[in-house]
Amino acid sequence: MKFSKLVVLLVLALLAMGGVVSVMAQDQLPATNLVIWSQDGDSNNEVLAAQFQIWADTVAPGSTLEIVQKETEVLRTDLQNAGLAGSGLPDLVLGPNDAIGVFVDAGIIQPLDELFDVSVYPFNLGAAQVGGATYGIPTNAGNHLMLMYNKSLVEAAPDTWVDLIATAKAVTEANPEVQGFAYNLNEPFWFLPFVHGFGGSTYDADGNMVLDSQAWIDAYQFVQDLKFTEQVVPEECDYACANDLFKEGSVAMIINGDWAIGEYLDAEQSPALGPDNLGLAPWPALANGNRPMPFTAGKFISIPVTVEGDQLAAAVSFVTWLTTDPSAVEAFALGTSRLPAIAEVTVDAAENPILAESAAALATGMGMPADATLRCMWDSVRPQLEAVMSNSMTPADAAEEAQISAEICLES
Amino acid sequence: MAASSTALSPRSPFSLQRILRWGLYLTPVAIFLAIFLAVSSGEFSGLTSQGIIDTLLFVVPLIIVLLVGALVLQFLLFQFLDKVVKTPHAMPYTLLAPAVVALVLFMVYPLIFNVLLAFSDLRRETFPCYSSVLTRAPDLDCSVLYSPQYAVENFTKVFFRVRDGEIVRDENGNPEFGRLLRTRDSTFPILLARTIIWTLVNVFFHVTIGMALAMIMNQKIRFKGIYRSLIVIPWAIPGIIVYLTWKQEFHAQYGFVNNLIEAFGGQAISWLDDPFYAFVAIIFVNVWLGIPFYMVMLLGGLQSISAEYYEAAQMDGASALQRFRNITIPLLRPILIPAITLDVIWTFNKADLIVAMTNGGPSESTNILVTGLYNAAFGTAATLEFGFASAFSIIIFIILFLFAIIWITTSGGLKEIYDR
Amino acid sequence: MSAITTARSSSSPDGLDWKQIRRYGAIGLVVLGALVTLLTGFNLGWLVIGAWLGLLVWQPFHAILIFYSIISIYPVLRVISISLRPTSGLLSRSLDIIPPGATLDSYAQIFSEEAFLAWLWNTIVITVTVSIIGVIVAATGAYAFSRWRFPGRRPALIFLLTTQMIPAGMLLVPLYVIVAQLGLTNNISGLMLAYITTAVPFSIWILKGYYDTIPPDLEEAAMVDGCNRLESFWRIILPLSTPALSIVFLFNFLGAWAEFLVAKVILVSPDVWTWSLGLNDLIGTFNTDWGKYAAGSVIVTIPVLLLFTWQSKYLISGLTLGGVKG
Repeated sequence: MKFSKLVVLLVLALLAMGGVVSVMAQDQLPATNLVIWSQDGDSNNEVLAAQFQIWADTVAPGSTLEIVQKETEVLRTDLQNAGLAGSGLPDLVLGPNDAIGVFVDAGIIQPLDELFDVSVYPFNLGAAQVGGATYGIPTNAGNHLMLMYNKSLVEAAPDTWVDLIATAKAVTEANPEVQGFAYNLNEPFWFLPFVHGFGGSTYDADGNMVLDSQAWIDAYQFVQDLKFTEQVVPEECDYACANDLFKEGSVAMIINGDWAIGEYLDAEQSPALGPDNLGLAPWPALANGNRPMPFTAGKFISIPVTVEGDQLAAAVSFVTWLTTDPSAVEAFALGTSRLPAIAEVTVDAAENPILAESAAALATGMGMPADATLRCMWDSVRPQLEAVMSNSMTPADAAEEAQISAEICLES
Repeated sequence: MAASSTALSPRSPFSLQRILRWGLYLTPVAIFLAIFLAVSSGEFSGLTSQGIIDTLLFVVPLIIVLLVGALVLQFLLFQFLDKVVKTPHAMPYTLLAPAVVALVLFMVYPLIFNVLLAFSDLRRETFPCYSSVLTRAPDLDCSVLYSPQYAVENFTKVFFRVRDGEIVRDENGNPEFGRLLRTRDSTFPILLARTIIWTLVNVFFHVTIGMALAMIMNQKIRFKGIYRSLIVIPWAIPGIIVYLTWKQEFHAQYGFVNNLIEAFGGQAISWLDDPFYAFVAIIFVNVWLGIPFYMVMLLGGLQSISAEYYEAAQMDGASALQRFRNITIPLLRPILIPAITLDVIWTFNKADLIVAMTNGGPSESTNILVTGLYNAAFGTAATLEFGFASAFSIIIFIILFLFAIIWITTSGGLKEIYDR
Repeated sequence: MSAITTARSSSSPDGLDWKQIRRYGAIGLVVLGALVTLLTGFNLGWLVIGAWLGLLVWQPFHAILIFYSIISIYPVLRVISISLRPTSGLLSRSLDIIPPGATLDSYAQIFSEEAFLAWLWNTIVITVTVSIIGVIVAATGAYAFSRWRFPGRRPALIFLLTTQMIPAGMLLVPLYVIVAQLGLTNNISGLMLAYITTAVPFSIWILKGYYDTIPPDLEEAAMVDGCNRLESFWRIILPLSTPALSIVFLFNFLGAWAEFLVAKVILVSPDVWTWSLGLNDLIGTFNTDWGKYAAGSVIVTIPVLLLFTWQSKYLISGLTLGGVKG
């Protein structure tokens, strides 16, 4: 007993020293106060704050990081407004890659190629590149949707949609209070993987936006059937609905992204789940044998153009350390239950079965482009998807309408 | 009327009413002390007793400085207007000065700013031109920031579809309406029509139900005080709480509304997934929200109508309906007209409820003009076109303004307000 | 249906004792409700409906008022119910007001885990200041409109009405830029000024309408007794206007208490947040905690309800947009 404890302590001490040494290797910086606007959840922001403290203590003692949490749309409008007003821009922005294209067009964030060695992020840098320049440094790889299931209600993850539908029905049959399957029905981000699975995509080979190919029609048909023919999803379900029901054990399987894993592992927040009951799996295969492919990207840190001098030096130093130092990357990945964005740090399946499952699901995804025109796709598909899901539009009409809408959107 | 309502009745020093009143005066003090003591005990996160003292040290002097400063400035202004300008209206101008300063700073200046934006070419691509700090791409032309030409383009885009600077026309040469959002039905005429329906239906139910309740409450019935307290509750609950609660009540599976329907053997309705029912749901909530205001206003009016009118009419053999039409309505007119005017304006502009409950969905079908504006400027469909958004908001504003002018002049009901 | 029409015609004198008939009708409806309840497998809803219909026949006014009161308070009861639930989920098919396993944990958590008390405190400071200053500004302004004829009076009154027509969101971008230029970000006095401004037009309307109903003779008499204009305003008009002043206070309070959009623009950092920003954060994309949200909602509604109760006697006499010559 004593011996093993000693070994653990020794290992921990070595690990800590390794971290300290790697931090010490950098030059000392003057104390700076940084502000970061984060689209991340509270618990992940706490991990970020802790990491910053480690960095500050060794590299720039006395530095502080103010984390301001903002939702996706709020972060976007506030950043635009602050840019327009010419003051109040933060030093760092942490968020998904969706808005990077818009920020680049509006001249709000700066290119990072000369500040960072971007070659160390092999997996998902493309999601933050516009016109060949890099505008965001990945803190993790992922942001991918996958199948999540409650092991106390479902023994093993279904491998095909036929399986899933049968499993879902069996669950409800066994216990009428429990819904078999639920997901954010009307949100295009949850719908796009089906389109990819049916062989479609947003852009054709020439880079034109095509939203009315047969794959889109098949995908609309598929989700409509899930709801109205198979009746395995709730009549009405948004993110909060699927999330809440899953956490309290009222739904057996959902589709959600890696950002929620931390919440589900926390038994206090998710009484029905916790490490013992949460299972992750790639999307089940469709009848054509393909798996629906979720968009993959990650969370990226961008730097507004107004940041310069000591602020910039500190920001670059911190972000470099956070995203490349192996011990920092590992701590951040474990703390946020997300996958690392550099090749040096890998997930050990034996130690971290959940992260390994998440990694397996990530492998089935496809990279998300950073193009600003992608907004036109999301905005054009959303109303049509809502119409399909309320059975007031046929899949073919929906695809046609989405295409017309996207073309008009691209005009302006 | 006013004098009578505050007429004092003799009360014993220890009457229940007096004790209650002092209790209410002391409540804020007690709450404050409780907060302070609770915070000092350190059980709560986020607030320290030092923090409380700091805010007080900041706010109390601020108020004193503001009030004293305003008084001194007003005195000086009065002397200036009276002695130097020698205007006979020095007193009213002085009394209005604080309100004018506040309104200029936070209403007039932003309004002018907004008009200026409508004359700008502020889009995603030209964004850096309008900021002192953002990087401008080398090929970005920032020579003309504001021009009437831009205004014409911005206002045109509110109504018509514009491609490469030209209005798109169909085979017959008629201009095609532009999409303010992403769906076919998000054109200006359709949104305007929906806004008008939304406003008319809401105001109609506000007035009729509010009037019915006020007339019942004006009868001699028991428990009037209790009913009144309960009926004004929708008015008292903060909006953001009300909207989310009702949204949940209209949930297809878990909402109370469907549970009730199913309990009596009815068919559940997908309220918020169906364009028609979603519109019904938001109208229901807004009607629910607006009735207390009318009930209170009309009850005040009804109570001030002397009973003699009704007695005289009854002796002449007038029926209840005749009495309502010939006495109640004309006498309530001075209250009804301003109330309806304000209600129309408020309902026309009611964005927060719709944004919170449906966000204009499903398929953008519950958008009215203001939520269209909100979604086009800030929402998910936002395209960073500030010039266009400003032009859009000005159009909405002008529509309301025209309505108000026409309604006020034809109804004549606001003469009271202006001419007394 | 026929029972209801009978009830309406009860006032006509035609020899029958309608009061008695209505009472029997009411009892009949309750019994009918009970029967249907038994027939439908103990569905108590029918009994409630029967009882209500009975009441409608017997005491129609009370039946309508009770029905409407229930609609009014039901959402409040639901919020209370959610705040008492042991889980943080929002969705439940249960119609019980007191949920199974009811607990006050959410109330404890919102104070210990969130900075709710700080949010409340910020809001109280802002709201009280805004209400007091708003009333002062509007009271003097409205007096000018009510008692003097001066150049610009009509356009100014129309402008006040016009401010109500500004669409939500129209001024947000300009406001953001102004706030940034004046350095008012995170500054609660900037927010207070903005709130006072938004409340002033409507307050002036109400107060002017009320002042108009007070005969000018009263001040003139006071001025004959040696008061100057402002003294007579202070001694005569203000005390007589208590109902309207309370209403204006109430409106200022309500407006500032739950405001969200402008607060979001000005108060960026969490330590100066008001409760509306804080609670909104609780139901963000991640970690939606409905239990805490509902508990917070219940707490922030209490002060407003207290204020309403306190001022309920003024509510009806003070809200005058125009006087009734009755």
